[in-house]
Amino acid sequence: MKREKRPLGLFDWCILTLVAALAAFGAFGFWKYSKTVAPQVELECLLRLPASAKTVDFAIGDEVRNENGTIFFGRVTGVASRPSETMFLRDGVPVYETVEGLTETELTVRMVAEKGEDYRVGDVRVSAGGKGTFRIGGALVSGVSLIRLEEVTEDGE
Amino acid sequence: MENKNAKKRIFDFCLLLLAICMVVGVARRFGALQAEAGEPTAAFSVEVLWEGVDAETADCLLAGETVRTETGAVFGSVQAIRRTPHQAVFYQEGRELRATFPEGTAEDVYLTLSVSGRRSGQILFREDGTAVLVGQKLRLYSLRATLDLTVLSA
Repeated sequence: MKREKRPLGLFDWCILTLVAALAAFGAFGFWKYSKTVAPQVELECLLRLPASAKTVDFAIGDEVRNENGTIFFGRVTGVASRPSETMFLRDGVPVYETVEGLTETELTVRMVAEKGEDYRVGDVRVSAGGKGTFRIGGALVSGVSLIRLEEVTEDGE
Repeated sequence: MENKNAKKRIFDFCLLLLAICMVVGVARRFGALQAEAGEPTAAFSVEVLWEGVDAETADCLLAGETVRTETGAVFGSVQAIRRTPHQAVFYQEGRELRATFPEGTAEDVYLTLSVSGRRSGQILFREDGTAVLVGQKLRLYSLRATLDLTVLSA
C-alpha cells in the first residue's frame, strides 16, 4: 500500500510563513545592532590609592591592569604622594588634619577606552566614583579609587 | 490512519504554539502588552543625594547628562546640581559631634533628576514599571561617573 502524501494546507502555509517572517525579523535586528562599533578615545584618569604607612614605589610607565592581569588599562604618566589628610577627633574636637605616618599616593593614568553610553576597556566600565583592585607595575593594590577621568583632546589637554 | 492524523495534528499544534510564543515575545519586546502601555507618561522631578563624594569626582557629572541603570536602561536626566561641603558625624560619650569638611575635599551633591513615568497614588513608577521610593538606594551611571544615590523625594 502506497504511503499517502498529505499536501500542505493553507493553515500550514500560514504558520510557516509567520515563523519564517519572525525569524527573518530577528536575524535582521541582530545583524543591525551587532554592526555598531564604539569609537575609541584616550582618557586621562586620576587614581587614588588607600592611605598607607608603607611606601610603594610606582614609576612613570608602569602598566595598570585588572586584578588578574588579563585586561590592560593603560600606563602611569604621573605619580604624586602627599601626607594623608582626614577628619578625626582630637581631645573630643573634630579636626581635619594630616595623619602622621600615613601617605596618600595619586597616579595619573592614560588609557584608551571605547566610548558608548559610558567608557569601557574590554568589558570593564571605567568611571569616576568607582573602586577596585588593580595590578600596578608589580604590585597588587586594593581599594583604589578612580577619582577623575577626562577625555584627552587633540591638543593634549 | 487515525494515528497518523493525530501525529499531524500534534505537529500543527506545536507549530502554532511556537508562532504564538514568537508573536508574544516580539510584542512584549516593544511594550505592546504592558498593562499600562496605552497610558501617557510624564516627566517627574526626583531629588537624590550623592553623599560624601570627592570634589573632583563630583566635577565629572554635568547638568543635562543622562543617568542610566546597571543594565544601561535610561533612568532620567540631570536637571540641577547643588553641591555643599560634606559633614562628618562623630559620637562620643553620648554626644553627637558634627564637623564640615573643607571646601574642595568631600562634598554632598544634591541632584534633581527628570524621570519619565506615571504616578499611581503617591508612588512614582518609571516607564518599565519599577517604583521610585523615598529612601531607596540607587546605583546609577552617567558618562563619566558612578553615582551611589539616596532618593530624598519622588
